[in-house]
Amino acid sequence: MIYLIDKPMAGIGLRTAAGDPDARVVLIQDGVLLSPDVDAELYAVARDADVRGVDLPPAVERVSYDALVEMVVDEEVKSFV
Amino acid sequence: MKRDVVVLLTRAPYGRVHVPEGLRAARGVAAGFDRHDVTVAFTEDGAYAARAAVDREALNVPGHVADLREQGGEMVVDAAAMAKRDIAPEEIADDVTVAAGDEVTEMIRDADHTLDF
Repeated sequence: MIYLIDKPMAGIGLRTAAGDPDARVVLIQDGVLLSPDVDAELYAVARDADVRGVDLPPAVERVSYDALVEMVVDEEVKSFV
Repeated sequence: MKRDVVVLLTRAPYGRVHVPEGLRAARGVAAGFDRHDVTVAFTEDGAYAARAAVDREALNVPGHVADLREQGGEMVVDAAAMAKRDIAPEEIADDVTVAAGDEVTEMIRDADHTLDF
């Protein structure tokens, strides 16, 4: 399952993702400012990071909006945006 | 087709419309033709809105809550969010159930749909 996480709801969002062994967490909008401590595949929307001048940690994979749309279409999503 | 819907209230009451609008939406979903199973979860700063001391009249929500409960809807508050904000269980309104943090996150994961306010 994809967990779309923005900053305001990061608390409940990351807690919900943490209980899912198949979680794929995507940091979006201000969420790219987070450095989540969660045992899951971590992605961040490249554009959102670039415009904020954010250097993403190595553990976070950059993903384009187009690629994110593909992910969202293919998989169930829990949105915390 | 009956669905399992969780409505997340994440904002503190007053000064914004999120709590009343979230409860209004929950009431609407619960009263729908399919009689969906609706749970309102007070989490994040929404935990403040689950307290008995909150003036619900001022928030214009008693009608929404009454209809929600009449349709079998439930209201729970996230104990993890409460702990983070030093809200004690005794402060919570009688019609809201205190649910463990893991219980709330599992409820969200298992829901067919979540709405957040």
